[in-house]
Amino acid sequence: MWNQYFTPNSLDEALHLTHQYQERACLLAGGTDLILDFSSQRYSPVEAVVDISCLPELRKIDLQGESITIGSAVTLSQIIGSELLNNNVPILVAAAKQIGGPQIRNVATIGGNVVNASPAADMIPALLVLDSKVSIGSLSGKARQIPLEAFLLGNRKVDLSFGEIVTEICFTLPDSMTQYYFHKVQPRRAMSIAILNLAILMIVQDQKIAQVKIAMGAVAPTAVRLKSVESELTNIHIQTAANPELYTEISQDIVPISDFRASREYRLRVARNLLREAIIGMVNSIKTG
Amino acid sequence: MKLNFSVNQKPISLEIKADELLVDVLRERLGLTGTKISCREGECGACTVWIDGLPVNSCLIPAAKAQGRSVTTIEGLGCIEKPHPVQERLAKYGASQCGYCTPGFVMTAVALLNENPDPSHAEIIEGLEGNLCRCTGYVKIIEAVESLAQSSEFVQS
Repeated sequence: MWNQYFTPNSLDEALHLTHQYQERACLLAGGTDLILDFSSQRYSPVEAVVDISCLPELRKIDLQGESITIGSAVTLSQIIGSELLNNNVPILVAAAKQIGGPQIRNVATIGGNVVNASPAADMIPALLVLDSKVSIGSLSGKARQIPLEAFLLGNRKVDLSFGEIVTEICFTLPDSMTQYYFHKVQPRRAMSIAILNLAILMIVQDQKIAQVKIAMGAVAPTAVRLKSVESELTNIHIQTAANPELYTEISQDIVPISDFRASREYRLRVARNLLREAIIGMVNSIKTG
Repeated sequence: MKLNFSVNQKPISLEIKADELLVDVLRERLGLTGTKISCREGECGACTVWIDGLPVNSCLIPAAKAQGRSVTTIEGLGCIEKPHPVQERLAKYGASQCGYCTPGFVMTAVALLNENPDPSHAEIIEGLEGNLCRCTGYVKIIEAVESLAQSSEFVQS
């Protein structure tokens, strides 16, 4: 799979290694996707692996002002155990709990889930509704930060060059009135790849949906924001949220395929029904709560 | 490359290939065959070991990741003469059919009880979700672990 294994002690050292080796090296964090890509020969052997999982710079979860920053090598278990994230953005905890089992979550990282960019990745829809940004470091250019939505180019394709390292994922702390929803449609309650996953962030004010952000995974080459439905739902009175016509625009936003997990028709139907049920559930909980 | 780490609290130093996986180093080089291989893709948990006390799938871990760290395998928890309380309980409850998944379940269950000595039924199910039993003997496995959660017999290890 590779001839050399580097375990740098600092981000700077890691950047030097990846700069030096370029396409001849592969970055590895938890490795739970990557090892399978090498062993199944989806990826060709490389000269070197640079293990970035222990870099202290990439292992922190921070709140500064109104902004939360999560280091790319933060594990899913760290996310689940983070008081800061449980209290402020429980949707990230809910998404992390849906990935693998404890053995996977103890090593798999948030950065790995994002960079691997599987259409079915569970962290990505949750990060999309938070309008997350991806910070990227490199030795040659300046550090850059781009919206996650722009970082995702296609099925397992991201805007990242050789020599670059994703260092952080950050987002602005949502209003404390925000409600969250995350659901993964899967054949088994654990250890499954999503047939479809759905993340929603909603703020209701004066009986109206003041803001709603919706992202869905496994229904397009990348996880996508459902912007057509978002605009249909924004500013409606919560009493009208059950109207099925509000959800027909979903076919503008998603292009599911048929594969061995589910057919295109099944995904379309589940997408529309699950989204409507979820929105109704969220506005009802506000009415009663 | 030279790998220096500890296995079951014994310091080990050996020459490995840079891309060997931890499960293969444990089984093939160190003869610790209590750690099982089944799916080799992180689905089944049969290869579960601890790194610094945290359960991981050793089939997905490059052995080089264990550099300088502490690995615990099933051989480090108990043996036939002196089984770990979790192993005793699994035997008592008949929670092992073909037995192939059992070492992995023990590693995960002990880690779960170390972290949370009194887990609820739901927490046990969630804690063991990364281990598959293809004889599908889950009920007895969960009952066995649950019996320890309610008792004071469990000693942290």
